[in-house]
Amino acid sequence: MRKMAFFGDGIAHVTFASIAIALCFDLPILPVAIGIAVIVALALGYFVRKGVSEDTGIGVLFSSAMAFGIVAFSLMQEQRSLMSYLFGDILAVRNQDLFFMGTITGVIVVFTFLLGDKLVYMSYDEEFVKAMGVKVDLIYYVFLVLLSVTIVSSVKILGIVLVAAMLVIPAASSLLVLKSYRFSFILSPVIACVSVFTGIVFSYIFDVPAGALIVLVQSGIFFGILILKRS
Amino acid sequence: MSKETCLEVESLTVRLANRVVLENINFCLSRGKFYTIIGPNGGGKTTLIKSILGLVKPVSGSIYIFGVRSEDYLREKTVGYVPQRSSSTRFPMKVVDVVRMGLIKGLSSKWKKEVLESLESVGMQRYIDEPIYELSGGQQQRVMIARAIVSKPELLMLDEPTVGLDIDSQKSFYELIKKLVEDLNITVIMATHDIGFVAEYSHGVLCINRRLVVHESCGFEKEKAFFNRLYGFNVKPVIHNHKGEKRV
Repeated sequence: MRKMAFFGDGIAHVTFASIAIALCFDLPILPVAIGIAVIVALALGYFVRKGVSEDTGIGVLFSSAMAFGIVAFSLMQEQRSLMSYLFGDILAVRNQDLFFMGTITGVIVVFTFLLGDKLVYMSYDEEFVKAMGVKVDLIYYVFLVLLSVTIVSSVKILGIVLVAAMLVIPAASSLLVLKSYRFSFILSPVIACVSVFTGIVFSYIFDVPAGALIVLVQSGIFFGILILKRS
Repeated sequence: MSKETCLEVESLTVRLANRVVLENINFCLSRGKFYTIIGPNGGGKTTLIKSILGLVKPVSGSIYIFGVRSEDYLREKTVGYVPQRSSSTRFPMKVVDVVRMGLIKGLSSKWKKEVLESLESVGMQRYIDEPIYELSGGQQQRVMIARAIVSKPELLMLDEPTVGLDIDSQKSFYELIKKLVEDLNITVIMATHDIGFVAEYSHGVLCINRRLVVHESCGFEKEKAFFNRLYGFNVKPVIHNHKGEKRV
């Protein structure tokens, strides 16, 4: 609804560069990745609101971050595989990662409950919402922080290449079915959970990367709904 | 300032991107009337509206709404606002959700009743559960008015709301504004280019081209010299009424 799918993709690629920085300097990956992703997201959000084209900003960021990450990985003394970061590895998820993801989920649920309506209204008509005295800039930046943290925490499972799909496809699928955003707040997570569960099961059966299968299941749901709607 | 004063603007100057958009604007408007703001593109009509709403900070000057400084008034109360129409998109919101936006400052348990009443006042109550994107341009504008008045404001501001509407829809729109002013005692201030409807419907006209060229509290000049001063080039409007008859 906020037309920020490309933004999410850009942050995912910045995460790649931040992981490379953390590994280069032997720092804990998660805090470094979150810190850099949040700073970059807030900076980009600030410049976009000042009139810089979002497409241009993200395009430059996207490719620069990716290039930086690849160079950093290649210069590392101890060579590591890029594959798990690019495409995810569900077997690498530990209990503390699950705890962190659960905490983030809880924060997002509270945010959605308290400010979800205002964020949707801002997406529809920000000028009107601002005229009503709502602090739109604050809500926007809080949203960017939560978006960045969500992307970083999901990279381990889905990988940088596919994490943006998780942000977009379940919501897009729910809006094919519903005419109002309200129930998409419920249907979208349901579609996400069904696709994650199905993807993991098929990943186990066919011994293929879970992240890719999750996205394939989501895409299948999306195109299935689209075809049913058209017919 | 009398009790009948709705809006008072004193020595207002606004600068945007190093350009003076409004310069030393002074005017006073009465309660319960319909005022229009006309002027060339880039003349400052939208900037004036946004300054009153607190969306743009002036370099100097002050604005009073019903005798209270605008910053204080806007903190406590709501001014109804219909922004310029954006291009239509398939945004997933129903009419009820759009109008509910107008209660964003404080939602009571009776919000559904308030939304329905607001839609009834603009004749759109039967579309309450329809997606906003399935309505025509004229219908969407009525919903925007419902959104702006659902919180029962004393002042309603509209920024070129009739852009893209056909002549019948425009006529219907101005009739609705007239009804709202008469029935609800709202003061309405509207930026527009619809000179013909301005002459027919508004109680007063603000003519803005960076400065306040003319502030007519009654009547409306349709002389060539006046429009020369306002728009900066030779023009004599030929004003037609709704039936297509020329008016002098």
